[in-house]
Amino acid sequence: MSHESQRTTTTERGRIRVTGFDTSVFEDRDERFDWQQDESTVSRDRLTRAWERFKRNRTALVGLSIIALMLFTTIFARPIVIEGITVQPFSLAPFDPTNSNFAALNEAPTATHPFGTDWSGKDILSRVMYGGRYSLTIGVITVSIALSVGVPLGALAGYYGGWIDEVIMRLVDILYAFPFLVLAIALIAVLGQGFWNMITALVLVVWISYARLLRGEVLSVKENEYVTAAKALGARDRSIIFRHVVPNAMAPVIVQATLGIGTVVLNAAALGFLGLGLEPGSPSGAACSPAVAVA
Amino acid sequence: MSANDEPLLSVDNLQTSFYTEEGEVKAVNDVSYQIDRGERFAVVGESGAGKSVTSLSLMRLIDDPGRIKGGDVTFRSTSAVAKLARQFPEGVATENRSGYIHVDELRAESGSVGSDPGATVRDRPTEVATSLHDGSLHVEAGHVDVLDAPDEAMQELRGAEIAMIFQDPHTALNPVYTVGEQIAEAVRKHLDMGDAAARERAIEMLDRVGIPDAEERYSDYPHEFSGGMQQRAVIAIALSCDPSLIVADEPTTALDVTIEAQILDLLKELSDEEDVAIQLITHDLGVVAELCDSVMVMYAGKPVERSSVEELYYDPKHPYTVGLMSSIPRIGDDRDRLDTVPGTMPDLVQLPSGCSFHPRCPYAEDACIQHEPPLVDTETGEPIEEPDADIHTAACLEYTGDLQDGVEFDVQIREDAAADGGESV
Amino acid sequence: MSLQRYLIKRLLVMIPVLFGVTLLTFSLTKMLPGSPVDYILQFQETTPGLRDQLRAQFNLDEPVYIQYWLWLRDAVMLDFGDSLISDRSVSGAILTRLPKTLLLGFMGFAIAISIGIPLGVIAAINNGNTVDEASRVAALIGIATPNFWLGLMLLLVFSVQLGLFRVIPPDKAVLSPAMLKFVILPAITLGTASSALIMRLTRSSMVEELNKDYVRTAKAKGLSERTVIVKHVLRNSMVSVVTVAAIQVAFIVNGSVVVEQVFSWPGVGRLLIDAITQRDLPVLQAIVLMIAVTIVFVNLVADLLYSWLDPRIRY
Ligand code: SF4
Repeated sequence: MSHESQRTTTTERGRIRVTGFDTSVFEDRDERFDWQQDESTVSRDRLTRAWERFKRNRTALVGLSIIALMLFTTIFARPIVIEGITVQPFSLAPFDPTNSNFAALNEAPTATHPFGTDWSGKDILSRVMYGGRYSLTIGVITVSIALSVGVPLGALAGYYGGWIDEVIMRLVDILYAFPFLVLAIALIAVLGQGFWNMITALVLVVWISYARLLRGEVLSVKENEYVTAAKALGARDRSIIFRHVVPNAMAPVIVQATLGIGTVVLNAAALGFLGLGLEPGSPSGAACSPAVAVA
Repeated sequence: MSANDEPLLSVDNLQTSFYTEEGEVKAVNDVSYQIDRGERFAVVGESGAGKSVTSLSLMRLIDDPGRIKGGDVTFRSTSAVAKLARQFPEGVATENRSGYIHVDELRAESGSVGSDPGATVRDRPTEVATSLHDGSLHVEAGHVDVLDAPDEAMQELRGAEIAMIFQDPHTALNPVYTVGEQIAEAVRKHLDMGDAAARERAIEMLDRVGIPDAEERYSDYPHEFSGGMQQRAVIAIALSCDPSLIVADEPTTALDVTIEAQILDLLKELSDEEDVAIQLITHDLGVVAELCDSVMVMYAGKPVERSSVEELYYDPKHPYTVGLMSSIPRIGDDRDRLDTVPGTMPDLVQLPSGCSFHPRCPYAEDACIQHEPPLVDTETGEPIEEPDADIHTAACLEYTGDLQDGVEFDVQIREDAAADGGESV
Repeated sequence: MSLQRYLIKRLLVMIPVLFGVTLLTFSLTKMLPGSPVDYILQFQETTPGLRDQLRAQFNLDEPVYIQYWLWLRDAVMLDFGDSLISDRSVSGAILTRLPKTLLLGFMGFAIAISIGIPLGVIAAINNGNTVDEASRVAALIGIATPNFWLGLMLLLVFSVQLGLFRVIPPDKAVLSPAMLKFVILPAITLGTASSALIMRLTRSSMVEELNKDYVRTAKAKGLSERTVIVKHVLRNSMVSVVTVAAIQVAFIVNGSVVVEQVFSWPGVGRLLIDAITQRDLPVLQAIVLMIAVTIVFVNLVADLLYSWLDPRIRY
């Protein structure tokens, strides 16, 4: 074989052809040649792997246990009765959070009242335990409603663009100019105090951030080929938006919403502190329950 | 022995691993090769073969959780040795002290080193440094142990002596600085130039790599350049401080075909004219043919074949190489379908037993499952002591005589339209 | 496209937003139960003539859109009428309090930035190890702590227990070096949550930037670790940090309403709460409008800063 002088030939493609690398042998080859990975590292499903990773994240674990503890204490603080039927009979709270003990007003912490009592002699520990219910429900309800407003509007704005986008985004811009508390304070001043009024006020200020975030995501997702493909196949806009676009754009919104529960609870507490929270008398221990945002 | 006979770069038994949750990923597993001055050397393999990690290891740019576990990287550049000896006299190896800068031969202008005419230079690194500085001594030969150098010394090597070109020029440039500034920055750092001089040099470099109106384009931002121009700018950065080795990591993969040809031409021209060696990393044997002199094929972190480019093309030895070659699409191909290498690169945490390639090798036999083939001279079947570009080596049991049926394939060289010539191994 | 044209376009977009902001402010306060006339008449003998006279004084006898127009016209001239409570002019009342709120806000913002950014950088460089984890936990606590609670605790520890600061400032205190001492605790309270947010954002955007290819290019050039971090990575992270820092302005305004209440800080935030509880409509309208307009402009500045920091953005 002589190919010393053939330096030039190699630079031209198409001169050399290799045959005999017969890949058809794989089809009926003995399986001892197949190399199998150790089961333990590969064949776990996505959820298991996610859980494995989660377990290794100490911050997340601590967060989860705090939330679990809070849920536990708030659920079992007082019995839950729905339409006369006791759903949850346990009562962990040492006192009725609404009961005033006028013999012990403004007490410092003691063995009977580990957190002391408030100005009307109510046990603060019980109020904190029970008040968590309000905090958590306010957080969850507000964020859910805000999502159901913000997600469709953000999706519409991002998907259609044009004047729909302009109108929705200008509305968002306008609301954006009012700081959370300022707007909520003004709204509560108009609507009056109360559980649902508070939620309404909070929803009105929370939805805008979800709409904004989702719109941005939708703008980039709608450029994807599967969206073009769905359009080419004649899918209706509604099904494109809700089957193809929104699910792929939701991830950051979901993260934001999870963190948002904490923010909402904090703001509800701040409203409570300013005297604009729930009606006087309801355990506004809600105001003091720690809000834990899980990273 | 003159220093110039020795290779510019020797990589010996390099091992780099990544420590992940799944275990130790042996990305580079005992790799040795060498590159001569001005040589164009290719490292070929599919993604995951350890090509990029090899290059990043020699630049010492391996980040957590990766770690270079062992091996030697010897860089024989007189300018690098002189520069480092001047700046880090404490790193110069002497008879009674180990170090990473080895000064083998010095030429003294005045005939003596320091104040003591009888002293050998190796005893007096500090005085050597001073004498290097005032110009009375010149380094004639020496080398740097790259893996032992401290970070500060590495910073002096990177960019100035060993430069790098990356795969995706679009992301390789910092979006918030002008292209010119990104070149000038390296020049200021390594060539001791002021702002104005560095700017001049950067414009010169832009012009050198074929960017029209270099003066105006100096203050353009990367996004104002096309992909091909961005890669030219990246090459300009690499070239700006006169390196003796450029590591090009898939420099044309992100570019389209016409641009690819231009960039390859440019690299070839530059390496000829500036006498700079190139280590080209690619998965494309076609690119290798156009640019390189010798080649190393890697599979699963190990070299499986090493030879000159001609040898590899006309007489491939390792089944993996053969598989890669039969998957190159050709003009006028009359085969029904392309034979690609079926299957995928194995998980580097758990390599298949014996020959790592056996699950994908059509010639695999029982011996392949049991014995790991060493890298041997394909003529003699003897293991090789040192990497030598002139010896064609491959890691397949065929060449140690352990296979019963042997490896069979044909290489046809077509002189005209008709295929003739062929050989069986 | 030039920055100039972008600026013009951006300013044009602000017109409907500002219009909406005024409309919303006006209608919100319109919807408040109880008109100013009712409020004043609470304290006075009611004669039919007086009521009409007052209604005319507040333009309540005009149709609503005329009322809005008159209010807007005056508001542009910064004339918001007189406070119902103190008989002072609204602008005057706000102006005397504004410097104090600005002082508090700037201090809080300064604390947020000067703690948040360096901590974020440190955490990012130490990505994954103990330093990083510790600063992330600290940030989490910072974000989850209600500011009124933090404020109360600081008050309790530093002034009640340790007596280090006299925290309740004299109501008539002016903007002076002496005020600096009073501002420290409220500013810390105000800045904590923001600094935690900024720290988290700086960290995450730094971590993201650190993984980008240009970082490797910069290292391959032989630049020192420090230069790579400060000149290349931090500069890129600032693009997103600036945007969020602007949002922090709204956050700070939020916080100052609460913090001023906790520390009896005589600023605009307290004026706002007082105006709501006392139904002092003109003051309420003026403050809400002022805050909203400020935030619209801050967002404008942030957008401009953003496009200046990131050369890729040219509209
Ligand atoms: S040793 Fe066996 S499996 Fe490995 S390449 Fe050679 S023939 Fe194929």
